[in-house]
Amino acid sequence: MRVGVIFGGRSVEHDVSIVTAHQLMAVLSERHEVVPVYVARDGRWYTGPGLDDLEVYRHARWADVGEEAILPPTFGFGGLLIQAGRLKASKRVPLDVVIPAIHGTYGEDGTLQGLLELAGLPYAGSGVAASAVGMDKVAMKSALTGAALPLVPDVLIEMDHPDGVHTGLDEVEAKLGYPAFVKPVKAGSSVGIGKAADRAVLAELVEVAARYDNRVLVEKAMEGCVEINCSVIGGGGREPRVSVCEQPVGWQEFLSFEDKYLRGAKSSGPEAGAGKLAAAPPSGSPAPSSGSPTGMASLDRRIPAPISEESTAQIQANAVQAFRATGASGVARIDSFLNPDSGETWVMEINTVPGSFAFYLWEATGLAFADLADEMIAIAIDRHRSIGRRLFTFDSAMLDQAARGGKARG
Amino acid sequence: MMQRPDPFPLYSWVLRTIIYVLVPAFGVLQFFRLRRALHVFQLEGYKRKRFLDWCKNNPERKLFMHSSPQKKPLVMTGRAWRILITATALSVFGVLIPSGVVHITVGTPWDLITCATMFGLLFFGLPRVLVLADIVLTPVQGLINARFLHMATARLNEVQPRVIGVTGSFGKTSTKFAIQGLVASSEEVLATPGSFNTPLGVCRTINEALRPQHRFFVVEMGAYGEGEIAELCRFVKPSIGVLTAIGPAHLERFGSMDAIRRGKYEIVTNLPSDGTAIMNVDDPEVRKLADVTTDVRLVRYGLDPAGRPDVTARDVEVTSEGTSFTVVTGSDDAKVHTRLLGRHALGHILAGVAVAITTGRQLRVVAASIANLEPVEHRLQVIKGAGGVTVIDDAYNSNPEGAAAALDVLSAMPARNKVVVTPGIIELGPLQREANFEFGRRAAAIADTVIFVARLNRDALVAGAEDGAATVITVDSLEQATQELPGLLGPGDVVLFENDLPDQYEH
Repeated sequence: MRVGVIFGGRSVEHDVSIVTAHQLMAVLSERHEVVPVYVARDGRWYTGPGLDDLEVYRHARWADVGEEAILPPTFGFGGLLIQAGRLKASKRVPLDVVIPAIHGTYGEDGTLQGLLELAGLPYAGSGVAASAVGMDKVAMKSALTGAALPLVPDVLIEMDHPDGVHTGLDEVEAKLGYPAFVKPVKAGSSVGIGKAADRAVLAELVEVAARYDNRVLVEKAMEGCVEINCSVIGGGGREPRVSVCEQPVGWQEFLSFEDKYLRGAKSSGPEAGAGKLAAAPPSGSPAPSSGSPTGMASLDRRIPAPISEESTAQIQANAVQAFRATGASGVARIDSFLNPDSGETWVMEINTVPGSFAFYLWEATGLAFADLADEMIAIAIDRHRSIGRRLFTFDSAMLDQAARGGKARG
Repeated sequence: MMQRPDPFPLYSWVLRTIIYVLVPAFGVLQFFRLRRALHVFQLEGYKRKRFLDWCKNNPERKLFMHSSPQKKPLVMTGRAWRILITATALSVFGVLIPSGVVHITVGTPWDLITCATMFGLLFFGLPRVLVLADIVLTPVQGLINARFLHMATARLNEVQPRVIGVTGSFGKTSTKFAIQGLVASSEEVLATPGSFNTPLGVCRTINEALRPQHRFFVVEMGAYGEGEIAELCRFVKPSIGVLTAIGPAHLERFGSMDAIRRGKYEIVTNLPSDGTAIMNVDDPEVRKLADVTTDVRLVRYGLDPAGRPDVTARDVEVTSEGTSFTVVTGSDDAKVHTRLLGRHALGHILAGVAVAITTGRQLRVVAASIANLEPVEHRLQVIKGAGGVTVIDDAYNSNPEGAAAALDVLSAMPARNKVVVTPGIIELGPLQREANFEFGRRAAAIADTVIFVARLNRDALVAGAEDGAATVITVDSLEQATQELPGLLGPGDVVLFENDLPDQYEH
């Protein structure tokens, strides 16, 4: 099958996406024809067989190696279009299925999914609504509340609102207390996130977070809790299945951006790390605990998480429910908190394009990355088939009426 | 270069004029004439003999000095370009090489005579130049076709859709559309587009349009001779074969009715042992074949109880809005309504139901899909035209049974004034005259005005229409016919366009 992998993107997680896509393409190419589709930071799209090589990105040579392409929204066009140049004819690059591998904005938030939906291309992962819900922490929490899942208490600060910050800070002190985490409502990974221990830091962090989104969410810091993640795969008429749990190590202070993706890279700001790739030779099945830095897969973590069976079961059950509540599809990772003493759990968030597609969790569950990738594709195609089962009826009498001067009411 | 004595004072100037002016000009002239000839060659499906026969039968057009009106323009595919360029090169070098050889070996005046002779031969033998170019290119075309075929086979193996083959002398396109609409959701079914019913056409559909989400692939299989359906079946390997009808369509090319019978039945004989044959027992010829079909599972469909159909309809109620009926499949039944017109449409729907049931779809689900079936363009398609005129577009019909069905629909329409525009029916061999006579007779009995287009069937149609009450108008082209129409039609009137001739027949 011709599988398009779209990666890069206009997102702070641009480089992480390149690593995720790289790992994916390495296993995909064993069974399929891979079409790499790189979205540069400036939003231009490139395609070409050479774009699956990490070196291209270390030396910024994508424009030489690949050809600029667009994905027309025209239904049924079925692929990429390389536009005609002075000496070359335009070319269509057909795609059977697309795997969006962009983390964060313009890739994980429903926008790319909307384009693929318009184009009528089957795509892996969540649909438009679930992706958007997964990206917007307020919408996500309201979806999860609907499923009666335990959530971390929070306060929403709307920066557009006059005096919103002040009343917001008061509310945080009254409702949550310190320490508290400050996050932009819409931003992937751990970007723009900080931990506040007093009002001065809180105010400063709210300003920082506001640079990413004009809505800022302040959440109670779950002191004494551990972060436990697990992955769920489902959709396309399949019962969701859950992976083993992991415990990321280094949670004690906070899983910062550098820690999460670029372990060992020393930098001061969230974006300072971008551009440097903690890359290693690709491997179809890197041992999860090998410690070699290959993006999410190599972060120090304990798999399975050293927690009780009851807690594991609880977290896994919550993850499946969260997957269902947000209407997710394909592979997602659900992050939770666990209080090891009381056994209490909270659902933190759902990632609809998890780093490395959480393959390290699935390998530990007994599903090889290549099989995981095939299942993602199969779900994408089954989901696409079901689209045709919906009815699109166009009432042509409406036009006749309008032409006769009758008023059409929609 | 060897110096030769100048045989006469102007000789070198004559040579220069020939080489630098006449030959290039001839090349350009040939290019445009060849392009027109190529159009006819393409319309004849690149069949060399048919193309040369056409040239023989159309002596006033075989020089291709003038372009003619085009309904289906020339499509410059890779193959068309290759033939055109090769034929033009043959025209140019066909003059230069023989003349050059004679110039060097014999000399004047034989070189000039050779030159003039070659100009003449290539000018008047233009159709043969085109055919020669095609012959020269045969190995190239063979390689290209083999590559496409290989790609398509690989793609079929990768996607593995369930293939449904549809053939018959008529009704196969409408049946294909009904199957496409009823067997699964739109995203899960791929059907070959109307005109792509040859191995290469199917090949192209697979390479360009077959996608992993397609669980079903409906292939319309056309045939002009025995063995062609079998060839297509070996390629796409259908597990369900639908036979809609057996009639005299393309009798001329098949040779005999027996050959048609055998040729169409190949869709059944080429099924795997666990395959299913779906046959229209309303058609007397197909019914005879169904009665002797024992090697594969058989599903009979039709309206006539005498055919012992497994899938049938009862309580049929025809209104101007469409048709309501009850589909019956063995023990199960469902009430349905369709917007499709005519008794034939019912047969197409039953074929679609039979296929859907065979693939395991519930009748309840199939019934819901029947209401959503859309009329196919140019196949008994009713269009509310400008000025309150209703147009029945049946331009893609080309067989006596379909034409009769179209007249039935016209006859049932309430209208003040009814007009039929038709060139008659073609490619029926010895039956053509009789069929057109009968069609002309029926048309003149139902319509108020009949317009017969083109000369091909004019005598038979006019003779048939003689006893009818209708006014008879004869014209040379569809364009002329449409010029006549505004004066004949007013609000509430109906016009039926029955069949449309390919460009090469119209003059």
